[in-house]
Amino acid sequence: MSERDPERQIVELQERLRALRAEIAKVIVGQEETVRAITLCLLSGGHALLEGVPGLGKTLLVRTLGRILGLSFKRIQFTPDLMPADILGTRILSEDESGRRRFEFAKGPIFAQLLLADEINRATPKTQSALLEAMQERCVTLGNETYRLEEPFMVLATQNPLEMEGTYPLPEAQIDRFTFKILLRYPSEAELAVILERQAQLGDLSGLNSVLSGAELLRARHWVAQLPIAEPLRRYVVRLVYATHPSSEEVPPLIKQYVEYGASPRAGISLIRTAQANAFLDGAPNVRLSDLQRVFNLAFNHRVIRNFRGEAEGISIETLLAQVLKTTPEV
Amino acid sequence: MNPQFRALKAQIMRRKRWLNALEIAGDWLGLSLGLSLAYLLASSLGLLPALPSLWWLFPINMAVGLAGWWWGWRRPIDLPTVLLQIDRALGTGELLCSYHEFSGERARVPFSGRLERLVRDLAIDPVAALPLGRRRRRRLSWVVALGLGLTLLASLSSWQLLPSPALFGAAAKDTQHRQERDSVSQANPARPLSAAELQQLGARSEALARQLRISSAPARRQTTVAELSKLYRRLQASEQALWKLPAAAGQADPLAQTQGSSSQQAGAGLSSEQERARRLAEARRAAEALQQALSQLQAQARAGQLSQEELRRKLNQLARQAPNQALRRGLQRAAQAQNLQAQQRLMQQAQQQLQKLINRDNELQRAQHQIAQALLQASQKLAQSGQAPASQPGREGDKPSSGRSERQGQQGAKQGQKQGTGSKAPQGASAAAQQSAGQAGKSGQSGQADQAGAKSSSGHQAGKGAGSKAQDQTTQQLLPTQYQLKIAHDQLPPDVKLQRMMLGKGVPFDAVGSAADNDTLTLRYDFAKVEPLIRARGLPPQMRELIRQYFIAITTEPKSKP
Repeated sequence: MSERDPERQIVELQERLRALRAEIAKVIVGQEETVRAITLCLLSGGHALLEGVPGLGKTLLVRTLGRILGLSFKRIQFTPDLMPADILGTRILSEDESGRRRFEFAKGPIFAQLLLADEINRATPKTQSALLEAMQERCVTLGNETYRLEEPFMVLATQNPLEMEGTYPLPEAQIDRFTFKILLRYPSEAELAVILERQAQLGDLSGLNSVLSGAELLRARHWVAQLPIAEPLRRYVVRLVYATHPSSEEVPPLIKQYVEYGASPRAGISLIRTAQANAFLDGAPNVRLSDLQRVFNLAFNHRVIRNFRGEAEGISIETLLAQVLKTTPEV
Repeated sequence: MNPQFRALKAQIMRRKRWLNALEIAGDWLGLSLGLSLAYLLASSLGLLPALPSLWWLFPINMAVGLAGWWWGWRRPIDLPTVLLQIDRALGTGELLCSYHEFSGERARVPFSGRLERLVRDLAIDPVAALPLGRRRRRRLSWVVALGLGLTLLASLSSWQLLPSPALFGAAAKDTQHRQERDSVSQANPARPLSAAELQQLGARSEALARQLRISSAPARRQTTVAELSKLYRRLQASEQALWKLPAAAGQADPLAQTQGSSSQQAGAGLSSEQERARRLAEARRAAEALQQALSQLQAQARAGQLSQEELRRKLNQLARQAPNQALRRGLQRAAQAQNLQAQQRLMQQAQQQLQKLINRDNELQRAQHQIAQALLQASQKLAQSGQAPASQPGREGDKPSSGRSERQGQQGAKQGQKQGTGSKAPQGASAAAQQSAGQAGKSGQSGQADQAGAKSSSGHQAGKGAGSKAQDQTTQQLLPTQYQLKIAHDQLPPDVKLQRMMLGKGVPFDAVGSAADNDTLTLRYDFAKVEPLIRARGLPPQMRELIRQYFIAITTEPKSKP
């Protein structure tokens, strides 16, 4: 890649990213929106929470991504008996060659670049909170020592909407740290047909090429962060965030009726970063209004908390967010 | 920043200002036109005064529109927002607003370069980029419609094609007013107008003035003004006729010429006197009856012949008959009193009030008749001292009785003055005065002195003749004389006050005493000041003579001196 010509760099990165999606498509049938959303998370430096029924290929997708990006990949299966040390690591007593014993820190799976936290809502809140610092600060503190995580670092967590019995819903503080909550849809008939056709090759990642390295991903993240977003669009993001709060002045009636808590400022930051990533993917030189509107649902759907009435009446978050988007003035 | 982009921004700003100015001007003008139409409707219904011309509304509305334009032009413009609006309208992908922010010092390499290239490739037409818009077009069309409506109404109104609701029904009144006008204008212009004619003229003038206030059509207003001018000229002619009445000796007695009208007028004057006297007498009788009933009630209550309830009921009944509010309230309070003692006290107070009322009525009656007497005497004296004796059968016979009634009246008045109260004496005087007044009314003698000063005296001829020297002497003798009348000042009815004013017009009198001085007022006429004042007023000669004779008449009897 040319180091001198930034524009050329950007163009090359954009091509690589397009190739990334094509490479993923070799293994994952359909799920284009999911793949795009994960790519946006990657580019914006965020984490993603994948929600879907079992068997949709969540784990395969993350494994594929790890393979293509050439990043270190670890998977943690969250169970109720999982301990924080199982994630972060622990001190173990080791003996060196001279026979001296000392404590050594054995790093846990969190020290991978791409971490798949499978069924995260099956672990206890104590274990779940072990991810908090890592996701936000990109480091792990144990005792007096802080261990930085290797960039790019991304957590992809999955949760099963079924089997609510025996699960521990993620606390709002932890959910807010996920950039996107991606809802996996069931494959269409055609897609299912293709999946079944390829069933023999399922899980075989040997044919995949590494199209983007970690360093290149970091460079892409740098350019994404530089993408200009005009001040009227930033004001639009502010209006969107405030429109999710029932106590705001100009709020859609549905929000007033069915929402307990609105989105946090972190939601606005996530929205802008992922919109930049979206514009970057599309090759645009600036963030557009359509970028913001495209990623709005993904960025906000896990950050707006319904009240009891909203849950009892079965009002979906998507309905509420659609109302917000419709009623918030663009200009 | 790209200079072309700078120029584009300037064009966009100018366009936005123009749109703002148009929007605000349209809003203000629309409101102003709406108010103008509402005003037009209200003025045609007579609810608001009309403008001299409806065309005034146009410069007013134009001024409002221009003010709105100026205000809109000066409104601050948020350029990034406007650029975003253009981006959305043209689907440029927010290039303009992004380039506006991230160019120059804030340029973000390498994106700004690409932004600039893309912006340069855009061919932005500010007019197309910032169109008028459907909403603005709709509002402006309303403004245009209101403007056209106002123009149409103004045109129709000025061409008198619009019937004004205020003039509905005027057609029927027009006929009546035309008849009145004809009767007024057909009256002999060489003679003064009678009281009835004056009243007609006054009513017609009022109606015309009302018409002027509500009508805005110029042609109609012109007609109204022309008619008012005619009426005014008629009034002027009447006044001039009064002035031109012959005063020199040897000329035919104008009294004879104006006999018919002046007798009518005298009759009208004296019959109004009679009416007043009759009303006063009735009021006094009612007060006396009430007094008697109250006395009986008091006596019954003292003797214990009435229960509390009965007494209360009778007092309330009497209250309903009370001639004035104060007395009514007093009797009602007595009815509501808790014990007999309080009731007796309140009834006594009511008695006192009634007595005062009766006394006042007596005084009023006496004053009324004295005035009537004086008028009679004055006219008699004029007739006696005038050129052509206006002897009529009725008059000769009237003299003695008039004199008698006059003496009786004056005696009664003297008694009244001595006693301060007294209902009997003025009664005699009043009866006599009424009789003489009635006779005078038949004979058609003076009555004009109590209307509008001496002007409408209908030409009583009192010229300088044989009797004038003697009269002058009498006047000189009588100059220091004073005339006194005790009457409760605050109880003077308005017509008596007016009469007093008219008779004493120009004649200074001193008010001695105040309302607190036993509730009476003493009026004193200082005749030493009469002559200079009469001269100073510039009254015609025959009128001066009348006034002079009048004062002589009322102070003829030495016994009448206070």
